[in-house]
Order: sequence, then C-alpha cells, then structure tokens
Amino acid sequence: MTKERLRKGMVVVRTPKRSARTFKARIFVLHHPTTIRKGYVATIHLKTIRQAARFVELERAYLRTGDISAVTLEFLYRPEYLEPGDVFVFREGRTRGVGVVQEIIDTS
Amino acid sequence: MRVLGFSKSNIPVNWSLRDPLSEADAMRNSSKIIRLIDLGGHERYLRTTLKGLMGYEVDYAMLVVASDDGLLTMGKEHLALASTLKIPMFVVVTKVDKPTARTEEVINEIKRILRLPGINKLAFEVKDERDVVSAILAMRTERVVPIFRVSNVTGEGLNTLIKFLASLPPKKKNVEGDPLGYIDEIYSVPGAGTVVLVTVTRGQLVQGDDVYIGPFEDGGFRPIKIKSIQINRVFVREPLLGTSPRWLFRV
Repeated sequence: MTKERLRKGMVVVRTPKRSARTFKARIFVLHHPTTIRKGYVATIHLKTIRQAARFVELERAYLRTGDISAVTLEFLYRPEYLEPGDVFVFREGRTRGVGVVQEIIDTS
Repeated sequence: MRVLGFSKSNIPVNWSLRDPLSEADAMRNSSKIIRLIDLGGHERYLRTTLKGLMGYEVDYAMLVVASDDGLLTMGKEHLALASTLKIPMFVVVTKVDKPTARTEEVINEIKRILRLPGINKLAFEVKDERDVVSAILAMRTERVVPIFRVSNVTGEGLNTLIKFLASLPPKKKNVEGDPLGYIDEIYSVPGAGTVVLVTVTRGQLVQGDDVYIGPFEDGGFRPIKIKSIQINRVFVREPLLGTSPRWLFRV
C-alpha cells in the first residue's frame, strides 16, 4: 500500500465496512452570522476526518444561531466511514456548529 | 505533542532524563504517562485546534489564559466548544507575577463565562495542593471546572498543577468490541515502507493482524497486514489495553 493511496480520515478495521457519502444528522448551530439554507456547504471535522459537506435537506427553510435541526448532509468529494452516534464539528467562516450522526443513507 | 511521565511517587520523570523530550525514555521510566497536545489559540489555527480536539482522543482540555491579556474571543469560543463536546476541562491562568496582571478580574470573567446558560459550569479555584483531590472528585460531576493560577517565572502554583496532572484519572477506553482506528498521518519511511499514525478509538489490534483500510474513492476497503506497532516511539507487539491511543502502524 503506497502513501499516495492513503488519506487522513480513513479507518483501520477488522472487516470491510459500509462507507457514507450522504448521512442524516442532528445539528446544533452555535454561531452563524445570517441563516443556513439548503445548499449550504461547511467543513466537517469528525475524529481525523476533515471534508466539506453540503446541507441537502433541512427540517425548516432556514437555520439560525441557536437552532437545533435534523439535516441530511452530503460529502462533496469522497465517502467516509461514519457510525451513528459520532460527534462532529462543522465550520465555515464565522459559522460554528456541532452535530451527531444519526443514520447512513447512501454509500456511493 | 509532548509526553510527561510520572514516577510511582508522582514526580515528573522528564526532569531526570538525559533528553527530557524523549518519548521513548519517558515511556520506559514512568508509571504514568500524560500526552500534552499544544493547540493554537488564534482563529487562523481553528482547524488545527479542532483536529486536536476531535482527532486525538483527548481525555481533558486545559485552557491556558494569560492574566494580563485575559479571556479573549477565541478563548471563550474554545471554552464553549469543549463544553458542547463534553470534554472535561480545567483552566490555567498564567503570568500571575506580572505587574500588569489582572488576575482577579480575569478569573471573575472566566467564572462569568462558565456560568452562562449553554455552558452552565461551576468554577472551582484550586488554591493549594490540599484542594487537588477535591477538584478531581468534583470534576466527576461533569459540571465543575477547576481553575489554577501559576507563574512560570516564580514557580508559584506549579507544584499544585503538576500534582493535579499526576492525579487525573484517564478516560475509560473501550478496549472491547470491533477495532476502529482513524488514520491521521501517513509517512513513507525508507527501508520500512508505508507507516500510518492511527488514533485507535476502540478495540485491540496486535502485530501481524490482518485488517482493512478504507474507504477509498469507490467506497471500498482493501486488506492489509500490520507489520509492526510503535507507541510513543517504543516497539510493542501487543499494546497494553488502555494505553495511549496514538499508534504507529507499519503496513
């Protein structure tokens, strides 16, 4: 296995797993200057995973600072290994938020 | 990352090592090891700070506040973040010897921020070594945040802080169940091949194990063999359960 093929955020496991491209999460917006709408993109930090993800579905039309919502997120570039219950942080500019992975929806 | 080792009598072993920064020597001579991960405060380094907070399986967060500058915007943000991520924390107020230090004012400000709804924590000022045990017991409630005052010039408060660090219990590690490690760094070492630094969050892996790495671009996993394992620069065939979660695998 060459260095070039490996990436940060990959996992070492005993048996092959199902990876996640799209997943459901519950998020809490700690800070956002305006509103988060469908199509919003932020960087997700989960363990050593760091990748941009798009908000493809929101419970409401928009989210503001202090809001809690169920959302569907989609990684922009590649699938990652996630487990329900994993905690992540998302950020973009002055935006900060935390979330918990609920369910893996799509693999590819 | 630096390691601080403690002897059986809770004295830092690094002081008596030929090279105080040698992780291997500290590991071999200590009965307890703590890892110190220094993270930047400036907003520009937030992504590195987040990596440290999320990717290293940290047991505790230590917020260092200078008593002349006080708690700034980012300090408040880090406090809020550690609190939302439910990482137990303590605060160290430094430079208390400085003529420009506003120690009391700064501590009151920290206490005010800790009380805010959303953070909702209680400050516990650790004045001397007799308070250390109560501070550690109080932290178990997950609501109490010990505050220390130190000066690295006069040495004031340092013994109390060191005693506290030596007595902190490690977080319970999940050593059973399906092994899971997250790749953090990847190196290509001449003569050794590919080496990965992995944060092991669950389970046990030993030298010679057949494992899978992934997901690759296609979402799949590839089989691989763990040829050797190093922890704190010491070769280990079978890591002791519950040791440092940062393992170096030769694959």
